[in-house]
Amino acid sequence: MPDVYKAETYKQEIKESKIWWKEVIDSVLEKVGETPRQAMLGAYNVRPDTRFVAQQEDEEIVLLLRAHPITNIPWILLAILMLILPSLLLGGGLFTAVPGKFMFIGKLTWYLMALVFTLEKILYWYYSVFIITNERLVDIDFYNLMYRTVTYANLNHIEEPESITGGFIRSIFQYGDVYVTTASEKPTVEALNVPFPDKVVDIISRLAEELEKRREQGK
Amino acid sequence: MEKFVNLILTLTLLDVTKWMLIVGLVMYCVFGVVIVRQVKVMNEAFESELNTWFQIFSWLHLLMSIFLLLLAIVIL
Repeated sequence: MPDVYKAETYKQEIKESKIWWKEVIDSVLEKVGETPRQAMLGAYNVRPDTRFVAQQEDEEIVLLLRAHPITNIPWILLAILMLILPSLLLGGGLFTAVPGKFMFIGKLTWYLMALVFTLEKILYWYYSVFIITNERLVDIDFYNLMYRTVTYANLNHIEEPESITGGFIRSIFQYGDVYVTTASEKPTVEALNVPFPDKVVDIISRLAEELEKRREQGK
Repeated sequence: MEKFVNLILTLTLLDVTKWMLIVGLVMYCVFGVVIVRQVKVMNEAFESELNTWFQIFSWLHLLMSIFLLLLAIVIL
């Protein structure tokens, strides 16, 4: 009489079902020619060893994206200008009538403000990320010191990922925008100024396709 | 009342500047606290090897702004 139930097989199936997504990620990354890589201040991290807010147990980060570092050039120039401005103004003799102790405190305050301006800009850039996991897209944006938005879009519900590149600087440094249309109330999830937008769209499409295949197979 | 009026009349431009600077620095200290809080919220957004450094930096900034406020009160 054949066995109706085998505990060993059942346990094995559960174990395998828990890691199926690792195989999906492996195969997708292999197809697009990517290998895990991570840099401390990198804008394009493949399978980074990190976790984000509300990450589930069976969820792994496939791509962690930030705006391309070149997009930071305008505020870096402004910060440099803030640092040299006191010397320029003092060299021009603009504050000769101001007492020394006021000048001293004024200078310190100015440099501290320049420092915090730089810190803020670094924080916004570093923590505004676009994450692609094996299950969903997560867009974390910081607009100012008190305002954060976290947008989730399930890979099963996305419709049309598209990438937009154009312009001299963007073409040279290979970065652009990625828009993913979803069927939800908020129709579009966007990643702005991210490196290799075509590759990002390719990975999103392949992950969504793999998930769809598994769903059709009833897995 | 008379004393208050005398005080107002004897105020110089530098005195006004001093108190405006001190009030500004008090507000700046509050801003420093906001930054510390914000870095904490950002650190919760995702784990990173730089989280601790940003936290330390925000606390250093707050300490520097408090130090600057005290310095302004003492030397101005």
